Amino acid sequence: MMRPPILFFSGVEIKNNAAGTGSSSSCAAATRLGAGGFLTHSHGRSLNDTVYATGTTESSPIPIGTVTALANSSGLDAAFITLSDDAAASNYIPGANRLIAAYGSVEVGDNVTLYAKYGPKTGQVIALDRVYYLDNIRDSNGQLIPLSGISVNYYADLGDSGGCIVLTNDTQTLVGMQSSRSSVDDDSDPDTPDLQFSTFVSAPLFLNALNATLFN
Amino acid sequence: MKRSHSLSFFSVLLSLLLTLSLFSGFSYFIIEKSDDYETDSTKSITIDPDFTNLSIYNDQVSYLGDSFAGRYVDENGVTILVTKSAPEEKVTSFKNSYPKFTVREVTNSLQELQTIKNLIVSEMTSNPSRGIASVYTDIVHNKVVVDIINLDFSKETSFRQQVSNSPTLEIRSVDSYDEATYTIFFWC
Repeated sequence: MMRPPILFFSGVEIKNNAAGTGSSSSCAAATRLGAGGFLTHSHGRSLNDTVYATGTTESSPIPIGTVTALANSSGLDAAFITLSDDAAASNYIPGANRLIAAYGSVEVGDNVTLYAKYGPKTGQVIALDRVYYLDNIRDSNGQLIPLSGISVNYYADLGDSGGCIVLTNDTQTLVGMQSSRSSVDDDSDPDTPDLQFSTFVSAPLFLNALNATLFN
Repeated sequence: MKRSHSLSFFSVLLSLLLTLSLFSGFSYFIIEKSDDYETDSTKSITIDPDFTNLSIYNDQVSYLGDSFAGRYVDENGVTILVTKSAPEEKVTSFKNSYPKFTVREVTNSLQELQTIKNLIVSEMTSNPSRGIASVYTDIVHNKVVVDIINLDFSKETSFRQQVSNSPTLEIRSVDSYDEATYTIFFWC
């Protein structure tokens, strides 16, 4: 069936809090329970946390939305940010904007491309079922919460979290959202660079866990 | 002349309708087109583009059962992994049913790999002091990969004695847990 493309974009940069301790990419516009907002990582966020606009300073914070759903209890590093009624979002990360027409899953070996703050990165899917820890995702007792994601052999930059991941040969199909990166020591051979890779969250899984629908 | 007026009228009407439709549903969303986004208005939209593949995948898993060891894609297409212990007639029948897929024999079934992986996940959550940072099944190399923080001989020996000494394990050393890929900076 032919339908017009779904009108939503990726590539919005957001700040994590007003104190200036971080900023991220944002995956895509979406709706949840009838409200408009964005998909991004959850990292250390809690429900009802405020998210601020890029450029916000501690002395003049500009809130743009609130965390209204987290998927980390399902083992997924994803959150839904409901935009404030008076907030506006635009896409301005150079090179990061993509028109997303659909979402889908990946297989081991698929080529995928990350679009986020620091330019596109392309890699191959290594594993679909990586279970990992992020030091800053813990429960109320301070215990680490295990997360699950898809391992890929590109190395994301800091600031790429929340960026959207698409199939390289079909850049309109969303398959995931950037979460973390890691490196493996290989001291046995100093001339060989350490293995470096990243982990992203599966799009079908986090959309389902957040009860979110792509914006259309 | 009359035709030109009609076209102008419809153009204005169409513009108005488009503007109204954009701002009525999501008045607080201001979505700006950038020069660098890609679009293809003729593309056919399928919400679950992998549905057909998923169906084939489920058929293959169901047919091979305990002999199924995973699948992956590469430049030659899709490779299906089956265990060496799989009945020969079953593998032959499978190859005849899926002639476009490459079939490769490996030692461990996917179920065996996942059992070991689940054991390690359980240890990872119940005993964080062991420093297990991550674990996954490496389908292509038919093994389970475990990353342990600051792995040394003592930690590896302890892991193999107390958690699993499976020959399918690859244990690697990492400096820390995964790094969240958001920027951290402080105001001066």
